[in-house]
Amino acid sequence: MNKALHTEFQKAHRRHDLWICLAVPLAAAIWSASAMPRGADELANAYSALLYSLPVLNTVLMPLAMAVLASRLWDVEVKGCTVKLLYTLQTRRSLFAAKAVFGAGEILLMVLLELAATALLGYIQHYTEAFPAAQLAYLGVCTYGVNLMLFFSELLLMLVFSNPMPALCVAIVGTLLGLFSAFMPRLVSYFVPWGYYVPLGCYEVAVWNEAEHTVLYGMTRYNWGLLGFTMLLAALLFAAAWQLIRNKEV
Amino acid sequence: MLKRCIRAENRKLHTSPIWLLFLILPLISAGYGTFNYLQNLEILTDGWYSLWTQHTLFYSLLFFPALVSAYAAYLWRLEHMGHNWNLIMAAPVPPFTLFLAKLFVVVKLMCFTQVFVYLLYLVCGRLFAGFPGWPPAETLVFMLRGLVGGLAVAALQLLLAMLVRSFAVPVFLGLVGGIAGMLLAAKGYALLWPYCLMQQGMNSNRSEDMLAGRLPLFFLACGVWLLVIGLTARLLLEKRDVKA
Repeated sequence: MNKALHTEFQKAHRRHDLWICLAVPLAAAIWSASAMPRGADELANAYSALLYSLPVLNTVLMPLAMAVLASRLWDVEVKGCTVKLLYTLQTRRSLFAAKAVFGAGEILLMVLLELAATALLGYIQHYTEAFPAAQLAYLGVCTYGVNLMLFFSELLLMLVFSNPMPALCVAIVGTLLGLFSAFMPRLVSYFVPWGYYVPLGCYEVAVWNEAEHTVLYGMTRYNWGLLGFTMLLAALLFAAAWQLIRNKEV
Repeated sequence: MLKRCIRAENRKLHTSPIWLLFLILPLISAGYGTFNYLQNLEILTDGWYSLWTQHTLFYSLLFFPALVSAYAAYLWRLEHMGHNWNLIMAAPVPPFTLFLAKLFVVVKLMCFTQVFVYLLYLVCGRLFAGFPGWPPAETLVFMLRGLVGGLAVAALQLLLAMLVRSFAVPVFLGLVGGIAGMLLAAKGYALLWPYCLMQQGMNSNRSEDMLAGRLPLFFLACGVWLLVIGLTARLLLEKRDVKA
């Protein structure tokens, strides 16, 4: 397994996947920073505002980023027509396990960088609200769970079609559906896995004063049920991808 | 020569899955736009104009760049496969003609998409929003201006897809470019970034014309971006060594 993972690292060399892992948190941070809080009342509610908006930004950025990571992991074998050769050199299990672990590691890096950027943004912009460590950790776990689920779904599409086009198309359409579901009644969002970042969020608009353009955010309950369902979906998609690798004729 | 290259590029699109994306994305955008409009009738009081903003807001900010990126990346992916790059570079046509042919085909797809978006807007306005009569002529102008603004996006995405030998990365860069465009437009630098041009042309987040009094500048920016990207592509294709 270690050897197979090392091989994946070597394949990723010069593939510049790290830039994708950096680009997503950077884009989210710049996007968040553009809505810089002004005034004492906004600074006192700034972390809440940030953690309320981050799931929406993730809905826009992450599905496509997951499709990019998954497609690049498998496309290298498709382009090089290496699958048949690899199956004579290593077990199918070790190939799939290495790719899954490598992809999961890249996603973890992406999520950790995003969380770090959030904390850094609060420090740079001098938020006066108490640092919500527990909520940030919950956001990280939820983002990671949804990302994993989407990653394995995109990997499955890559394995089925041996072409990144369907995976990317599904990701683009999924992003659009996910974004729209964020502005629909909550029930609708449960049927759109690409947008699960939003119903998993733990902040909501508590008070919206249209005349004074002020918004106050409040906490909601952690959505453990949906998080569990997301993890279950991720596990099912992982199993489906593994079955496909195991049984596919090359 | 160019005509033959365009014909070849058109053939590559036959039975391509790209047509599914072309159909689905505007349909979802129109469906959501109409739903949102009908849910917020007390705020959205400008009739056809309000419906236009709801139909095209997310489309022009985020999904048009991604869609055009997918068109462009699909056309170049075929050349990046196997030994096709060597083959096209050895073809008896100037390499830049290949770029122009691909640009023509992407622009053709873009035109179809814009017309489809406008038709959906028209149908949703008449059938679901219940507007009497036809939409104002300005909305047709917005659509055409969006098309002109989109030329720079198409050229830039073709350039990126030519340089990056991956289908996925240029599509992702298209989305990031759209987000950057949205942020830059909010700061007032709309004409300095190609992805903003389409957003500005479409006038998708305001009822009043965002380009009023700045139309010549807009067309100038579109022309300059197209020229710069075209020249860069030509330079890279003709001066760089073949990378297969």
